Amino acid sequence: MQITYRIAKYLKVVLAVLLLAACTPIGEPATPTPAPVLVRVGVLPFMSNAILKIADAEGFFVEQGLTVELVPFRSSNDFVPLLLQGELDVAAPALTAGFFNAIARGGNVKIALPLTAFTPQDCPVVVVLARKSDVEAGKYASPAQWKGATIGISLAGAQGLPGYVVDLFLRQAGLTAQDVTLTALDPAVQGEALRSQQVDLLYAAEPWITRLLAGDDVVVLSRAEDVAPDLTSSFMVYGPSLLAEPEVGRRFATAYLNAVRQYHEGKTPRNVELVAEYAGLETELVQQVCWSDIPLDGAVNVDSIMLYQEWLHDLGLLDRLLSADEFLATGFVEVPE
Amino acid sequence: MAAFALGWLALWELAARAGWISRLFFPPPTTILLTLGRMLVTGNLAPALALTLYRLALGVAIGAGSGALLGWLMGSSRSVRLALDPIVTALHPLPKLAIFPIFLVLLGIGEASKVALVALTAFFPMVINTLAGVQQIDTTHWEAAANYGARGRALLQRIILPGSLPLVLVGLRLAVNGALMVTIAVEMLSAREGLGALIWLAWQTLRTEELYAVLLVIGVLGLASNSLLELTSQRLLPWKGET
Repeated sequence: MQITYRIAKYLKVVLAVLLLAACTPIGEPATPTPAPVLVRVGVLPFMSNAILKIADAEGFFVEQGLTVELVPFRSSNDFVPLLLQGELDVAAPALTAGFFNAIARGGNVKIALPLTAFTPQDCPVVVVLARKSDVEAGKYASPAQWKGATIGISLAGAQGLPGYVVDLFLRQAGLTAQDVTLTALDPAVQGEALRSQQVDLLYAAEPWITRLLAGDDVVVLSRAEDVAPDLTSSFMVYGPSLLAEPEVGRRFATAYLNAVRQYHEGKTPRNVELVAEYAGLETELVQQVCWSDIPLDGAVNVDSIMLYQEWLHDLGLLDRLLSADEFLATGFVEVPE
Repeated sequence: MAAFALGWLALWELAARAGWISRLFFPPPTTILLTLGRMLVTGNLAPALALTLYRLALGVAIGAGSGALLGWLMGSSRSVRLALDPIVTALHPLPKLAIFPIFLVLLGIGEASKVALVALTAFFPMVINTLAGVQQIDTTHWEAAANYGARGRALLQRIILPGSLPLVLVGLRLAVNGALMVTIAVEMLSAREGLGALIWLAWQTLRTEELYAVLLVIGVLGLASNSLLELTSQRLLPWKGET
């Protein structure tokens, strides 16, 4: 009897506590502020990479609870190994055979976002240049006349995307890489090489195009967007750390796309200032050069990558062809159908 | 030493096979050897090696040859030495690869700029060692030569060349080693053929077993060139014994 009384008394106390809790007015659910997550991003001194500077300077990363460290590099050659080793969380490596082979051999890196794309626009970002005198003399009146030409290209580019684009130019005229000579050139000397006739044609990108065209002895012969329209030409790649934490990956993507929206406002004083500061270029030059398109919707042109991958495979540079699922991470961006 | 090296290789093999280390970056040594064999038989290793050797040989011949001549000249003439020593001292520490873009502009994108940089690398150790070789010739030899009226060609043949030869050969060894490093580096920077270009391509495609295979070839190349120079030293300087 005594025990029953004690249990009943205990139950009354519990009931009272529960009722009290139920009657307590409930405010906003307490959302604990997540601790800022550190994300290390490998960046290159290219204008396109200034999008990350915009995201950083405008506080888009902070808004997403991210502390982003932009780690500068001179070349993207080491990005994939550093991503795989966890030294970097995000980077924009050149899409070389190494990227695909790393995945084929078990490396956990994936394309998460587009960086630049060959979107047809008023001005070209990637072109083939020729001497004005040659063009005026009718030397390159048709693409077939490229046969036998020496084409200057960046060293990293011959077996990468620039080499692929040059191959597309050649295919238009029924030519192949065997019909021309590709010569590796440092960007700093490429203009001199063209002017001094060491090369006949030059594969060039901004801001070098604007610099070279300023001399008035060089002209644009062909534009990359004509042979590879809408090709996604560079990417943001996530390493294992961000692929394992999709929420952080989504927050990074949101901040990135906020920066892309600001970038799409064009050459506003603020954007010009940030791009110039980031790339170490004069403000006047940044205003003059053609800015790469960065897709607003965060969509990657998968078909263009598959075609490029097949080209690499045909060159014997790939261990095997990958399916899109293997190299593309989805779910970080809501891409409209 | 050999046992240590073999043990280390066995440990590497085991670690790579067991997955303790990344096979992507540290492929098993047996895979590297098989890759090397495949590259030798079917790949482009032989033409790349030939091209690298050509650049190295031409660069060393020009650079070390002119370095030796200038070293002997500076050693023999006080006025030449006083005039050129500050220039040599100032130019020697310049990082050669940093000058490469200038060479590209001056000499073009072909072989000349690459060979010139290799030659420049070989030049400085040669001129400095040759000069030191002449300067360390015992004064009694100079006095004896003067007493016997030796001048010009006789002085060069009897005193300067044999007296400076030990350090000239040391300079040549340094020149070849430095030139080999710069040849590979230049090929990585700007060439589409050669061992350096193969290293670059192997890293670009992340076929690291090919990268290690080429590094192995370069190591053997360095060993072979040094052995050859050692043998030359023994033949030319029998009184020095084995160094």
